[in-house]
Amino acid sequence: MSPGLPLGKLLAVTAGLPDKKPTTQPATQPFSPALPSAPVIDRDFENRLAQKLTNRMKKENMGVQEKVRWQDISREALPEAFNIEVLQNETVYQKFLRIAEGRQLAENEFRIVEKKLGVSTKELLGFMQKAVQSGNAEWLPIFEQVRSRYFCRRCGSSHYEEWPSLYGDTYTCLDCREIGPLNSLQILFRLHSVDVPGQTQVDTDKCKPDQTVRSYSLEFTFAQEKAAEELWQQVHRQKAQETLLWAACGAGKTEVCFPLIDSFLRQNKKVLFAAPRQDVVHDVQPRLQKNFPEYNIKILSGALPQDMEPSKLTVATTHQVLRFYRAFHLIILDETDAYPYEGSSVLEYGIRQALRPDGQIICLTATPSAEILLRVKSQKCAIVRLPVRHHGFPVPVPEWQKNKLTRDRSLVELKKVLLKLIADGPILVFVPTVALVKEWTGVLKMAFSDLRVEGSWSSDAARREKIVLFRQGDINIFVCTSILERGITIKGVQVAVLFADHTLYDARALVQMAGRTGRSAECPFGRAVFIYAEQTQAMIQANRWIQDQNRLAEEWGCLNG
Amino acid sequence: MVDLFLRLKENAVLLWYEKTTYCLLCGNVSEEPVCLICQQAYFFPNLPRCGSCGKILAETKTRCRNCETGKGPEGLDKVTCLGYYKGAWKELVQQIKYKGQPYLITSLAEVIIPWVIRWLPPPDAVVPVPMHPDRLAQRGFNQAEVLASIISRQLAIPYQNLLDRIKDTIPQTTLGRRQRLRNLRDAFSVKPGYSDLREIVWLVDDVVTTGSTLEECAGVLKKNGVKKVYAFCLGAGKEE
Repeated sequence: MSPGLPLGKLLAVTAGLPDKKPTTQPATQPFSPALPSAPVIDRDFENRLAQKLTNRMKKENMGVQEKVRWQDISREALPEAFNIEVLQNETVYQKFLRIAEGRQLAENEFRIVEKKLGVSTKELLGFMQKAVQSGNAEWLPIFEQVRSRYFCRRCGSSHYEEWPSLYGDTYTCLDCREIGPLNSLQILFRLHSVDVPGQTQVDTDKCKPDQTVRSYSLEFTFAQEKAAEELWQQVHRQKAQETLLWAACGAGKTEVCFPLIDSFLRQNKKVLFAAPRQDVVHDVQPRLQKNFPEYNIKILSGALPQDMEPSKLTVATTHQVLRFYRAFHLIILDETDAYPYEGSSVLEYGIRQALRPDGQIICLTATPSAEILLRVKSQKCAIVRLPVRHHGFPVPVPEWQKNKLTRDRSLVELKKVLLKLIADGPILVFVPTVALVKEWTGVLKMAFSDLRVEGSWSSDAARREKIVLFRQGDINIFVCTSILERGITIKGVQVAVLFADHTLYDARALVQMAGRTGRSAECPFGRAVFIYAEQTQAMIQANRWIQDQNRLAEEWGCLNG
Repeated sequence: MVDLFLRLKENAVLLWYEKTTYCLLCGNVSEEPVCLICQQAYFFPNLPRCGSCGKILAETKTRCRNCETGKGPEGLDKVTCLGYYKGAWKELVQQIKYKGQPYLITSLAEVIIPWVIRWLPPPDAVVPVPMHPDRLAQRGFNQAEVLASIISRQLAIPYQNLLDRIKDTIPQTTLGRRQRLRNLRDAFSVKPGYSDLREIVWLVDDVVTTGSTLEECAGVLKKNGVKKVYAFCLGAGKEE
């Protein structure tokens, strides 16, 4: 019970409503009744239900009047109330199936589908019911009870807030909030993936990376070709369910996946490219579109309005993946160890749920977590290494500069360091917190009055514009939090990590930040400087990690520098 | 067993560590439900409110331009609003209303209570603006009722659900000012059985725009013997 809300008061409201019988049980309970052994077709009930669902959406009626027997709905014939002209329109129905395939739609998303199809709420509900009766879809309560706990069906979380509604205790899922919270008074529609009939399966042998006719924007190096081939073998030959592609920062790991993506697309299979961060998603989509111009590659992120257009190749943030159910044959999960994905059981659940039962996952990272390395060790996850950058030069090993950054003198020292860096290119200055971004943007603006200094953080409204300006070279020094720590390539950029000994920075974060330098073939060199007060284990580990990677590249004989 | 272990773990964490709280609007770490930066950005604690419609005003004024020219509501004795209905504050109010999160109002009690005590004279009862039964059934709750019940409970002022919405009106947001007034005509009535109405009441709603809803409710209350009607809302506009 939510503290402070008098349940009796809200329930008393129901007394004034005709034909309203407030249930004292949690709203989730009606959804898991025992089925009668021989279901009797109750035409009246179905018609009432059809009317009720329609009216709920139209906000015209009194809402739920009785327990909704979901399983009864799915088993019975199409209610007459739905049997309207548009339902006979097979073209629209097929379009609906294509749009909703592999998705789980919450009530608030119905409107987007309606608009897309150009149908009314009632007609859409008719299509949905038709799909349910054909066995391809299901109506679901938002929460599922497992022993004494309730779990959200969309995100798998049991983190909910309970409140007393007109119908008794109601739950709102707290982990779904990023993409619109759901509560137990709502319903979820889930349309399973339907394989399009008449499409022949392509022989996987004909899709070998070396035999593909496609030419990519990036010419593969020997190491990349080797990694792409190995990846292909793991997925198609070894049938590995999960594969880790451990690549150096700037090794071109996204491009290495292109032949694999191509082989899936040519078999008419659905591919998802997911990443935990918006910036990465927005950076990758144009690269994919350039290499797969015949596909309309959809991008789903919190920064854009929800797109319902079906697509063979989808690029999405890991939050948006929660909208899918067993939809994809292949999921490429970029930056698998990055916040907020790492450590989030909800996002991990979302990825697993979006994968078809026979689907495969490729995890991409330059800094794998201990957990995934453990899975590799126990052979639950295959591994492919790509230790060298595409231009063949090693990843710059970070330099260390002791500086407490507290007094005028230390600022003079910092200015000297930054002046040396700026001679080689624009500087990306990382600081651990948002407050420090604001503070240090001001400090650096004063120190470098002749240069353009800007700062940004995750909730900065002008973040995308500033990043574009920095990419174009209009900003000389860009102060930021971890938002640009990964998945971003800026030509000639130099890196300075202020407070590199901060507890928020682990070895992986430091490797990623240092890895922003020297990524492009035109400027394969760069400098990364860690500015610190006390040396930390993370800094030592980060340097060791980069050195090990470079050593492996040398052993492979792929280093130019 | 696993459940039990998880719960023990959660509680143990609470014993040893202080729970970090975040601002409901910007998500940054904050000791209060709404951080000081967001309070300044959305609540404008130093700016006056229009006494007739609750709109946030520039300094030194007591009534907005509309109310000065007789276009605002006239049946209310005083109106105050907590924040500027824009940006993150608007989003939060909409989350509460449309996304089934009335419990968020409980988190805001810490901010709401000092505000109402400061700006409104003490009442005999707290009265929520009613919702039509159809919409109530559809949404499952009335945010004004939740808000009023929290104020009532925290301040130990009697809660009275005095009003009925007898007409299912078109949402006010879709209408112009004149249409709003016409839309609400005869929309409210006092619940049958209430004869001894209190003298001073606080009328509570989520958002005020033109003030037509509050005015109509105040009119009905005053017709039935209420002497003073003060209104409180979570959000209102701002006069530029």
